[in-house]
Amino acid sequence: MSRAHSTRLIALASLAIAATALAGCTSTNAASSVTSSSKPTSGGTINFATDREPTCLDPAVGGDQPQSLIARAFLDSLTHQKTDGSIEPWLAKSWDISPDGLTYTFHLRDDVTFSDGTKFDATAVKANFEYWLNPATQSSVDSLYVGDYAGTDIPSPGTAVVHLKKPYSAFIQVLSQSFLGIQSPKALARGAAANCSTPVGSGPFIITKWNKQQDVTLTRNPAYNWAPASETHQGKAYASGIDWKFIAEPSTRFGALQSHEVDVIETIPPESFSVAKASKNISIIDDVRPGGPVQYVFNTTRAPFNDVKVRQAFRYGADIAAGLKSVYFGAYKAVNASLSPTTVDYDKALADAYAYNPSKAASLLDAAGWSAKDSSGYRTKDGKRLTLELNVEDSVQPSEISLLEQLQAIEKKVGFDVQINKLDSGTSSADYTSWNYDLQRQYWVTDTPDVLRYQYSSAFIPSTGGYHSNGSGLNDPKLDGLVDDALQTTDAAKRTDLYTQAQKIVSDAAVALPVYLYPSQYAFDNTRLGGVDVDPSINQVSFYDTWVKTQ
Amino acid sequence: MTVEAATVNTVTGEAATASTVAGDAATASTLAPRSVSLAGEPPHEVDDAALRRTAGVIRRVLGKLAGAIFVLWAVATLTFALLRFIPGDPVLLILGTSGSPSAAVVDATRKAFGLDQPVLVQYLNFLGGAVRGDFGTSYQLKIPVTTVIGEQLPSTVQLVVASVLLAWIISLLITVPTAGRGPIVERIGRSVEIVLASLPHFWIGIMLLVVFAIGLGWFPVAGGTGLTGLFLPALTLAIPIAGFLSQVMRESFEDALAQPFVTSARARGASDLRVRFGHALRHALLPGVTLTGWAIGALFSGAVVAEVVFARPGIGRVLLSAVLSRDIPVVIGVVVVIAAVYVVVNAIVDILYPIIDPRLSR
Repeated sequence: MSRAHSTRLIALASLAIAATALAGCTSTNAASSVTSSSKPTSGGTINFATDREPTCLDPAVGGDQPQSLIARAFLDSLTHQKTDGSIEPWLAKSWDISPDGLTYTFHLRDDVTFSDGTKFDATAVKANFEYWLNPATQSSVDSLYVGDYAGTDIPSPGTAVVHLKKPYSAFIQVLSQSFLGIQSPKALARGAAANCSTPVGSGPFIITKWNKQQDVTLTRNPAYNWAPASETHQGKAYASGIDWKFIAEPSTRFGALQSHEVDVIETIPPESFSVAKASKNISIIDDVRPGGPVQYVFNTTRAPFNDVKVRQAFRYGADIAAGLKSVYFGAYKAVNASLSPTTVDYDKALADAYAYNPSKAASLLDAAGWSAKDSSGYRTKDGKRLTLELNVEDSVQPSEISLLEQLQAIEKKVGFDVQINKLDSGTSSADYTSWNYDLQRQYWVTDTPDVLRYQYSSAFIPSTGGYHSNGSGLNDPKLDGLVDDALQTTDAAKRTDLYTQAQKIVSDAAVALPVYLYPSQYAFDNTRLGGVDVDPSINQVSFYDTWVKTQ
Repeated sequence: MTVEAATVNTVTGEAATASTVAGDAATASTLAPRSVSLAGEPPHEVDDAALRRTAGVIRRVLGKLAGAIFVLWAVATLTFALLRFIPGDPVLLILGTSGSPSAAVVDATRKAFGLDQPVLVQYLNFLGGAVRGDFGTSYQLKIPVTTVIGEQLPSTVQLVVASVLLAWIISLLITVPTAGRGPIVERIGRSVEIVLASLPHFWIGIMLLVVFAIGLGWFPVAGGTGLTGLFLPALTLAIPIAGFLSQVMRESFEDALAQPFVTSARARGASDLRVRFGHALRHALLPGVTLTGWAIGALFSGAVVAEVVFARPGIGRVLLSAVLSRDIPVVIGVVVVIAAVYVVVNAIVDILYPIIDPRLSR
């Protein structure tokens, strides 16, 4: 979800390059002697390596990207998002929405069983909603996404009538995320400790064991026969299991792929991207997550970013695309808008907003009264230097710090003094909740444009203080109204229009510097695996259709 | 080292073989002055002396135990205080820096972990649990801290033991053949030691990984659990320690080679190899053992780099992620375990001293 921290701790970029270059030279075509088939075959284990280990395998607890990634393997959702963005039935065969948008009647499949033997029915649906919203669950994502839930009536085991407090047009869409995957009510009753280590769903794979700091082993669900209609096959998964490994160090992870210890990895190290591309045994999925991009949000509640001209000047003074090219070797995609292009209702017109323009930045700063310059070349106003405190957690990738240093250098040219503060997560969170920053790193992955509400509506600035997901402090009644109205409308064209207006307001207000799109990158050994693809809801890999070629 | 310099009269003690005569030598050197003062007193006084000695040993052991408990308490308390008073609300970190937890969720979480109580009450609760061996539940993993540590400790112990063994082998191979071989050999030996000692773990790890695992394919790249998987991470940690070990051992080794007993041994016709391994090495062991005590403690927390590079489980990584996510119970649990390792290892080193050098047994 939102604020990022990659767990990559240490990386000497140059060494990693050396590592991958050498590795590239020595990688051999191990599979050439083995028969490989392009037709799906059953059996074999998928060896997958990802960078971040979840702290809890139940995606409802807290709510972070690694949890939703693994949840897709063992949890099914009520609805399913197709590649074209439209929603199709899954555990819910169909649904009716009342004209006032307050009642959703889900007609459920009657042939679904959780892997602990519990039958899936309306009681299970009700139990999951209540679980997500129970404060004891300690959920920060699910409890937000279904926060307007009012209750569920169960006229028959196959029908769940879900009532909402307010109309919520994103409801059906958001339910397709694995964060809101349906779990066995019997398993949920076991308590947090058991549910964190062996959560139980009805998905194509079953969690068998979590060896902390090493891997999670999953086996195929032999009973699975309820895949969404748009999947390329039906019935049980092709592979007989997944060994889901955690390898935090990027060059080790990529090395494990090259030496055939793993078949597929998530998050390709940027410096290895070209090596991976050049290797004919390695196929790449190069996608981006929907939702809000990785960005540095501006604190508009204090000087100097309380002045829109200063914020706009900062955006015109930044040349992020050039920085990305030199730091990430083009592996990460630049972005100028507040939404990722893979999000529904993304407005293409804003794709090139605030193209690098130092002279425009200069005239905006002049107009804002920051016309004087001190001996170091920084702009001043009333004798005060134009200084910005940029807070970033020290767990962020070192490469991103390089990107920020480039930003610092280029913004100096227009007169900004950017101070980069690398903070531990506790201090960073303390500064954030007390609005003690000028720029703060943020991202938010979700499949709906409703992310605009979480990030920019004044409803997400709690009056009591504490955590605010609106990091800029933007308080614009017109924008608040637009994102609220968009939730109330069921007319797609009208909704698109409302979100287009909202994106324009956010862009004009210049409340954040988007830096890159949250990558969804996977590299796999195509001599070992076939059918690797991503689940479209938030573009995370799904292994349901994946088969192992050489066993 | 100073001990050796001070006692030149130990040709006989030195000649004694390690296991059998060590005890006698100890008796000889420690009791000699005392028996003089006791001379002429009635025999039952000697029994009293033995009793007093036993009492003295018990007192020393109890004293050490009390000291150890004090150290563990101080470490736990200091860690608790540091983590509670640095900025940042642990509840927001428990809920993940993600989403937007509602006030109700924040309050419930605060209550669930007892973080709504006054700090003093939290501290007393923590102490009460710690006495019973219960360090509470991990904020992040939701399972008991003892389980978290229990799962990860064996892998770290394995790695540390293997690293120390490798470090000793490397360092003996460097020191013993090169010490006292004239200025050129010595300079080469010393340079090698300095280079080894100053290599950063991360660099060694990546280089070993690239060459021997990814390049040559002799070892697994990631998470190998068997002996082959242990070798490269252990070597990564062993190399700098081997450098330090050689540096301290070389000095004592060269001192020993200059001693009269070496001349005497050579005069008796002992081969160079026998002189070096049989006579001089023992003198060089003492500083090596002291350093090893420190290295074992440091490796428990410092193994994290090898653990990350080679994707091995272990308490180093547990500690790192717990510190970053402000998982206070886990941090305290791991820190106490590491402190206990230091205490135990130092106790063992204390016991080893008189065995290696009987002159120290007083």
